[in-house]
Amino acid sequence: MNAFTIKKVFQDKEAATSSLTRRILAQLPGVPVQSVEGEGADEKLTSVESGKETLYLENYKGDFLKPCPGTREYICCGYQILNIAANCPLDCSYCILQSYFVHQPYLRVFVNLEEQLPGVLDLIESQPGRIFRVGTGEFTDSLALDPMTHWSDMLLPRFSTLKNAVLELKTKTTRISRLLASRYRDRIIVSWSLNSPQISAREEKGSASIRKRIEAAKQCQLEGFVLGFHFDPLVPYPGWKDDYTRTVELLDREIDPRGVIWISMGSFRFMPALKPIIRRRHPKSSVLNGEFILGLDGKIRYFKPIRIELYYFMRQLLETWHPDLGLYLCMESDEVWRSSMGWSPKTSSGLREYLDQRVMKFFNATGQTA
Amino acid sequence: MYQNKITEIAPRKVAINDIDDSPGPFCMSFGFDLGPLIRSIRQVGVVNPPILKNGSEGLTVIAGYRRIMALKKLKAETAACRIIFENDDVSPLECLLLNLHDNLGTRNLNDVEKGMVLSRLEAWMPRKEIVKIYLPLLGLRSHESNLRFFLEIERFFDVKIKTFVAEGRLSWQAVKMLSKIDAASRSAILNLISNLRFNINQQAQLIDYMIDLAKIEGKSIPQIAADEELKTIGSDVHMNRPQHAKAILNNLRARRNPSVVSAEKRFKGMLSDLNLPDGIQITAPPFFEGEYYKMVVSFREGEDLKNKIAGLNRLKGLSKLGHAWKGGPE
Repeated sequence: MNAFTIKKVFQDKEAATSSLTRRILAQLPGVPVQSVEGEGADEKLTSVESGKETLYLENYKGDFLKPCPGTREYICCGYQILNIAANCPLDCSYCILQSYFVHQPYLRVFVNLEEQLPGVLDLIESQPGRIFRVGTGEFTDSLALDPMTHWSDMLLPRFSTLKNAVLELKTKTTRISRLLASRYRDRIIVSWSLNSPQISAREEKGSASIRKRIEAAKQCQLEGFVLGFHFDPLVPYPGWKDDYTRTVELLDREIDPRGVIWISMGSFRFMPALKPIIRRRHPKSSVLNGEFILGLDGKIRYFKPIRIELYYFMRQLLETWHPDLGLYLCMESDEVWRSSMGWSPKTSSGLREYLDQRVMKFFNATGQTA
Repeated sequence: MYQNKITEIAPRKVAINDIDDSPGPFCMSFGFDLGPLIRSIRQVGVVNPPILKNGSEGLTVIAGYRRIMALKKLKAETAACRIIFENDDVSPLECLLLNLHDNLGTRNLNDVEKGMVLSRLEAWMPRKEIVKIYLPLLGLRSHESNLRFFLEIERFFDVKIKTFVAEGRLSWQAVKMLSKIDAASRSAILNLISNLRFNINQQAQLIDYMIDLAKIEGKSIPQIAADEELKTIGSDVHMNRPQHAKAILNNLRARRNPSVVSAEKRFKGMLSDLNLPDGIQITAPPFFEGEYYKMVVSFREGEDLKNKIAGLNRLKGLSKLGHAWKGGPE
């Protein structure tokens, strides 16, 4: 895996006094740091390429804990996002962040996390009847910057004490050393995004190989962490079935499925604005080659029978590995659920309930399902 | 700045033949039609005197190139012009701005001309200043990406595509998409658009299909454009040009999305086999993504509705109307 190199740091004046800022800068000796005010870095950075080598330290002004925007018209899981950063040093061709943060293509780390975290924990504890499935991997990779930010040192001890929440750290890297060094395991899920080896090699620039990811997962499992996996985005191409089978075979060899809380599946979907960006930034990518239609939510997604075939095949494959993996679909319709999974949670609240049950099964959480 | 003084210079008569014919470095005219200007000058003369520079190269045009061209067409011998002399110490940027403001006051610049202005300005000032001041002046959103786009039009598009852009025959989206592909591909697509007159709405779709198919089929865009099947459609004498354009789009769509198109055909076949009574329409959700079909019944009065419902009930095949999306490409 490539080492991520930070060549330049912009530090918002408001962020200068943060202990997280000091800690991050201590990890970057010799890297030039420029103090800016407000969105001062915007004018200096226009390309995604240079953005991935540029760190912007700032205070986040909004709520740190927010519900995942999900998507309208499809069944969503009711995930909560802990907003620790925006953008990612990895460079996956299909990544939606390329269009989300097109005008702010640099790595933004929200250094007031430490100060704001008690408020987030209070909010969670104030609703003991509800289970919070919280993740940091929606707008960034949860672990890619961990050696520099030490997020896991900050988050693991705090989330481990919560009775009605789990924290999921989702990654495509092998940057698990700080996790392993931590003594906290309870309420923590370490998850890897998985794909076929070919998609990983062609489309997930900067990420660890599938084998390395699974080896890292094995290490985490041996060290007592609960695991999750996300086959997202599934991409069909000639030979996809054999290739995805190889990934599941690797899982079978290395991972004890009884320690897997859930495996999600999602097929490639994107806002129309992403297409020209992929064409321009990743001209060799094949992710746009499939048969797409405009979905009910305005996103482009594979034609329904193609999605059903993807999920059905993966479900069969994974259920052969183990019958109780907490399989679920990300942003899919009731019809696709029924046709591919053989059942459906019918609604978003049904899916929430299903996943909350998984949390209770694995962590004996005290919260009641929605 | 010299612009403030320009009106203080009294126009003087200059022999037309003494003025250099070339547009010069300050000209920002492209794709113009001299006809209306000639008619105007013939009727009332030149209202706004051109601005010339009298330097070592003789008399060159700073602003008013089209007026000089029109006067030459009219075989005029002299013209009243404002003349700036070398020792007036007017910088090239000031000359450029004189031309720009002279144009902005009298007409709308087309998109190619906007690119020309921005490209010339870029030689004399930082991009930031152009984005902040001159993009809004040209009626464009003040963003760096807009500047890059217009510079691309000016620097990388050939005359043919510039002419299309200047004449507004290409949609904005199509121009943007064309700016991202190589010159040979641009030319191949432009030939198709030009020959078959794809309308503004069809152009972006055509380009999108061509780019996708080139990637999927491992061919170049010129190869796809030269495809025998497309040629056959394009030369079908039983169709007019809009029909050619539509048929080509349909052909490309079927190649790009074979499963979707097959499902649509199957659905059409199912409906046709049903033989629905008059006034009853069944439609599928777009791309079969939704789960429900829709039926619309047109009727005059209750009795008519009852008859139509009874007619529907008698249809033998109705209960077999299934999921057209199942089955894959043909």
